[in-house]
Amino acid sequence: MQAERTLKFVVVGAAPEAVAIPAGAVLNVLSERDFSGSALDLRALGAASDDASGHVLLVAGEGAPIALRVRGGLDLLSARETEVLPLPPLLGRSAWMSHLIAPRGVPLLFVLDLARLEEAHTVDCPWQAHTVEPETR
Amino acid sequence: MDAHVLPIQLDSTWFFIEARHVREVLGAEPWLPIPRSRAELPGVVVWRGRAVPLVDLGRVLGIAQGAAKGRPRTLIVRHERGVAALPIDAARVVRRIPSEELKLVQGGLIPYGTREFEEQGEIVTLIDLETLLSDLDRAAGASGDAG
Repeated sequence: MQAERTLKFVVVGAAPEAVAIPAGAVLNVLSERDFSGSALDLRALGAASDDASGHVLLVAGEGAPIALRVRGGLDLLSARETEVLPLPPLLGRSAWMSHLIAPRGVPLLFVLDLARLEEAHTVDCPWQAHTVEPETR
Repeated sequence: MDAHVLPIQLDSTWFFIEARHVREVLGAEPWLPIPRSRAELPGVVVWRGRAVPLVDLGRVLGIAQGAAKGRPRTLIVRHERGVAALPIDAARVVRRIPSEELKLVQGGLIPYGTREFEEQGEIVTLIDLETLLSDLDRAAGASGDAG
């Protein structure tokens, strides 16, 4: 019998706003102070976090990597493949989420729709792109 | 021809929906709110290994505002474009009602109410679930399978 595949995710933000990003798509995690360039601002997802630290995640896109600016600590989450459920377009499109992670059938958090983030500069993406400057000390 | 209807309760009001839509009546199911969702589609539940949209029927019918979370039953229904979960307060056994006793709604005070049935002085409205769910689907701009 073939073992069920396990998928890994990087979780950004704090409950109840936390979202997951497929770990395989994350190319690099940088401290905010080490990044320079344009990033989508997802810091609102971590508004409830006690941890005010900032990171920039570089995630794989079709073309250039997409930079996501997040607030708070990052967690790693493993889920069985059968616990990662595609969201119906009716729900996923407006939320900018592609999947639902539901361990033992209990909805836990959504997976960011990375494919749509590619179009972010042309459509009404809920997260604005802005320039992040490296911190000077 | 007789109609087969499921009586469902929202707050203190009873409605009928066509029994052919109903797949299962569950208890209160855990659901996750969806960011930036329409108020009528506030969340998602898991049913038989799939993510299913939660429809706040009380809000759609104009009898409750955002009370979906506290309802003790969840109705799983199938429609033309997929499956949906409806939080309700109660359901009774399916009833068979002669079609001639289901009168056309006069006035249309309840959205998607198409027929009425009078029993012991009480009026119970039959909800056109197919049209209701199709309208939500269209309004959300979705294409393809909605559940």
